[in-house]
Amino acid sequence: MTNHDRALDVNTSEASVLSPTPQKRGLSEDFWSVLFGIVTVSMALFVTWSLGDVVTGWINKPGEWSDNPLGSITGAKANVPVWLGTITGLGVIGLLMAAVFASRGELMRGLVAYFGIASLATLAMVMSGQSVVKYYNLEYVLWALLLGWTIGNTVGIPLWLRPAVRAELYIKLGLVLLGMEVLMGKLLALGLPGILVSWVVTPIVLVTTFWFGNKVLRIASPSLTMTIAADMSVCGVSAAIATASACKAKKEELSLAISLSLAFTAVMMVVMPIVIRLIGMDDIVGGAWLGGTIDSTGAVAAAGAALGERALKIASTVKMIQNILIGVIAFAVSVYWSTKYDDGESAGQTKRGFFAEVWTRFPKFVLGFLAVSIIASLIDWSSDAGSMLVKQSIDLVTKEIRNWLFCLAFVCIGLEMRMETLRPAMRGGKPMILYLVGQSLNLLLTGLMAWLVFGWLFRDSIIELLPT
Amino acid sequence: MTNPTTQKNRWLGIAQLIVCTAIGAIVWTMLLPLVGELETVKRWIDPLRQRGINPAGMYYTDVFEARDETP
Repeated sequence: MTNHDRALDVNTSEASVLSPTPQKRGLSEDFWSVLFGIVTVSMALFVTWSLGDVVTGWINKPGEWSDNPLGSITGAKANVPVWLGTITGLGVIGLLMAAVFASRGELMRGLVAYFGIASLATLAMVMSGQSVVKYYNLEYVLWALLLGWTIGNTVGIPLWLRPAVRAELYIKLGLVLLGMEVLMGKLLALGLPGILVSWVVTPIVLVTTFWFGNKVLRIASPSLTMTIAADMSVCGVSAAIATASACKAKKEELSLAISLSLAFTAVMMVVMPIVIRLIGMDDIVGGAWLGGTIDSTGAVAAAGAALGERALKIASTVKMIQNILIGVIAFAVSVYWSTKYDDGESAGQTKRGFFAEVWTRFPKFVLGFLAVSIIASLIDWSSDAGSMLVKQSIDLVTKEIRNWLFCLAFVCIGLEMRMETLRPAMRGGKPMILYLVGQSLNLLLTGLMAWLVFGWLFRDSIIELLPT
Repeated sequence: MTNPTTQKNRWLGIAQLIVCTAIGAIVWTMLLPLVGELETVKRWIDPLRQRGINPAGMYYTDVFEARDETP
């Protein structure tokens, strides 16, 4: 690696998830992510409305396999080969990226680089499809990070790949698309009991963990503390990505928070159902406890299934209600960070009014995320046909594109990741202590609330709603 | 003229990448399939597969794969 490359690597590793990478500057990542997000969501709704199920399988990703990796792309969904759906999915993002590359006058170089990053993302998806890896909740983000990190720390980032190393853009666009899945109507899926467990305990744990990390443990980086607090108390990787972007955390901080969360989730997913059985907790309270405490959404369903059908339904519904919370959390953290922390972008500029200053610092892509969420929620709420349209658009189009975008983002984060930047915050194993303390509080408070609400106050209505 | 140290580092990096790739290939194509055959692991995986649950799902929309069980 040349000195020039090393200098670039150091600069990129110190940049936050939200700060532009030190390449050619063009229109802001926020502008592109909001524009592309709205275009993609509109196209998804239009295509699904006009073509319906014909779209099935055309946007896809490699599937599950056990002993032959090729098995992940040789299958088919609705007669469309998985390899073709994979190419189409990555092709849609490639088309959007072409506009970015063209605006910077590097269309061909950009597309070649995108092909390289997309190939690594595909490999990460194939790795995550191995059945043992998949069923123990080792999500694709981990393998995307590992692949990128291995290349970045052995041969360095090849120069030809650099134009497509745009973690910030992929993450923000992915988050705007995630807005489509944040449907406010889902909040009422379990009525008041679900809201009490998901929306009362979660903010308390989040704020307390953040306070504990800052004031007691004195972790050097507030953004690391906030990202760990959010991924532990809300819903794992997706909450970590949203919050890290909202509080402008460093790439390494996001990676650390996600690694901690995935490691503990894999253990909790297997151990908690056993503990629930051992202590004689019933499936209703146990399901609610699992839903409110295990970080990752998929792992909640797996743990719930180990307790039975009713626990599965309660656990996954409580988690789904918690999932919806990430819209509010991302917005609240963005506003808090814009008022509390100076990100340096506006330092040294002319003094402006408070609101102008907040607006300057506010990550604008959050507005795109909220706008998409509100529009999708309104369509979903308007009628049964509207609800079906939103569901199909998510399942057939936006969900898969969002997964690809996050995978591309984590390949890029891995490529640029330099763990030495985390050393000050890692001193004394503080992030691990923070996670353990926060999760213990979460287990305690959620357990109490689950017992109070699901085991006592609303027990009869829950049994009526879910008889078995 | 190419700096000999840089040249040496480059070859070292390439060698490290090859070793990592080989380890990854062995783990994914030989070790993990063997782990997947263990009875304890099968007892965990099979019921989830039958119910179409994806434990690696990141968001609630990713979790139920084979059949529509999104609450």
